[in-house]
Amino acid sequence: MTRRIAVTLALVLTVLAVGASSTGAQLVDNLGALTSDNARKYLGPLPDALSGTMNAAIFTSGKVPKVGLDFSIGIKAMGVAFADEDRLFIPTDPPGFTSVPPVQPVPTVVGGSNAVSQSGQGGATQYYPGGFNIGEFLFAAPQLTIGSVLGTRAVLRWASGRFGSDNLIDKVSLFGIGAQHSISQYMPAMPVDLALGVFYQSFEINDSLLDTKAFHMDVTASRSFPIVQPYAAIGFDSFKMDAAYEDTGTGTNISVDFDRKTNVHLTAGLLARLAFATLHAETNIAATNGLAVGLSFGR
Amino acid sequence: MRHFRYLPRVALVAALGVASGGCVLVPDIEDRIVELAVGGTTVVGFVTSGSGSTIDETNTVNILEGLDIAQILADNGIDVSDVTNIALAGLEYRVTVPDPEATRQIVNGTVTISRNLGPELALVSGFNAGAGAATGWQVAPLDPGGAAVAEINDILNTIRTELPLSPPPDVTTITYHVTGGTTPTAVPHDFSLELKVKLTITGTVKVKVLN
Repeated sequence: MTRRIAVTLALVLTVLAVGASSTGAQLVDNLGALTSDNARKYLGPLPDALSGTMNAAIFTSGKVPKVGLDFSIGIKAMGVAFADEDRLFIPTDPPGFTSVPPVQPVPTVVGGSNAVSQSGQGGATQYYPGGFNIGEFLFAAPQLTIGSVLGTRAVLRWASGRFGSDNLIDKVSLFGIGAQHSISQYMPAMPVDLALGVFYQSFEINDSLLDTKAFHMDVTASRSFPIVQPYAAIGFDSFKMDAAYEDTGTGTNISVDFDRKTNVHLTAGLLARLAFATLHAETNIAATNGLAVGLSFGR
Repeated sequence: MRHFRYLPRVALVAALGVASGGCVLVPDIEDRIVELAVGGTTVVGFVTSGSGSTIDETNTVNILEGLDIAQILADNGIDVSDVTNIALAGLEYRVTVPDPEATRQIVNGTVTISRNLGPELALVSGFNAGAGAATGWQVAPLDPGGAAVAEINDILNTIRTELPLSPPPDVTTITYHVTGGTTPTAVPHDFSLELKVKLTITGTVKVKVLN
């Protein structure tokens, strides 16, 4: 059974690596034809999707032992679905081009895969790139939890991948670090276990093509039964994304700063401790509502 | 106890199903044909000098001399056989060698093009600019009629259909004619301009996405 799970885990990781490689390589090409203003709109659906997924499934229990070995390693997979309005945007005319009505809505990064032409004054034409026609956004990360000292455990996420020089994007890296501290240790009469958690993550594609920073803080409550453990959390997310790429027309470097996004994050989930592993599934109401599941080993 | 063994799996499937609107999410890899759009440029330079109140310069250029479409495509991972559109997106100019007279102005300038002894078609009209100082790239106003742009797009489309080869030079060679007024008239003029032709190119690529 353990071998089957390990094979499945490896398959999931492989799938994610392939997906990140192919999509990422073309993403920089699509951006290269866009001004910074239009690149911001083109990538517009990503900050909420990344925030909603990166900040999910970090803390899945409010029970943090006061002392003793508390160790687990596993993988978390988070997904959100894009809305129809995420698929199109109205572009801003690039310098030297004046559109003539009707102005066409054009695809975002998750929109339709066909390029769209816009007619301009004097017979000029401007083409805008197609998107990747993606309905859902999935994000996966390995996660390590280790504790406990004074009712506190550390949580780490780390992943890194290189996809070869034939890809314009050859590097993806994720690093996250945080901790969860038991509150219920100070209030033993509480009917649920309660813990305060904070977590910081950095996720980069090709160092600076997409550079994201996420911060999550929540209070997680859970109650333990023989096998299952329902949990809920109320928290706060902060997310910042920046992009940098080269304009294929002029060769100049373009930086796109996105506004920092903050939002309340509500979670409800169920964790199951089996003999060989721990599973959990949760729903999240956050920057974008989504689902997360996790599989981990340890205790 | 037997019921509890299956509870986690049931809960997992139920949570996934409910939160995805009744449709269980199963990620898979799908092929996508994505149409990219990239930019390209070619620059034409010309020197104008003389006396009096007018500018009148004629020159012949092969569009392909300053335009390496194959390289633009290669830089963006597009195979030449997958190019779907090439069109003119705009024109820009800059003063590279300023006139000795700092107040030098180009007044109501025009740029026309012709191909194979055909009629002159207005590309730029109503062009007013200072030429007494070097400048960065500025937008050149395209003639509203758009006839010259249509002619250039026809050439670009011919280039596209011939890729990876090049059309015969007579197809891609144009004669451009720059005319206009200049002030001050009492001082001879001598300055250099560059005209940048901005192109927009689309092509398809096959990608795999996780969905």
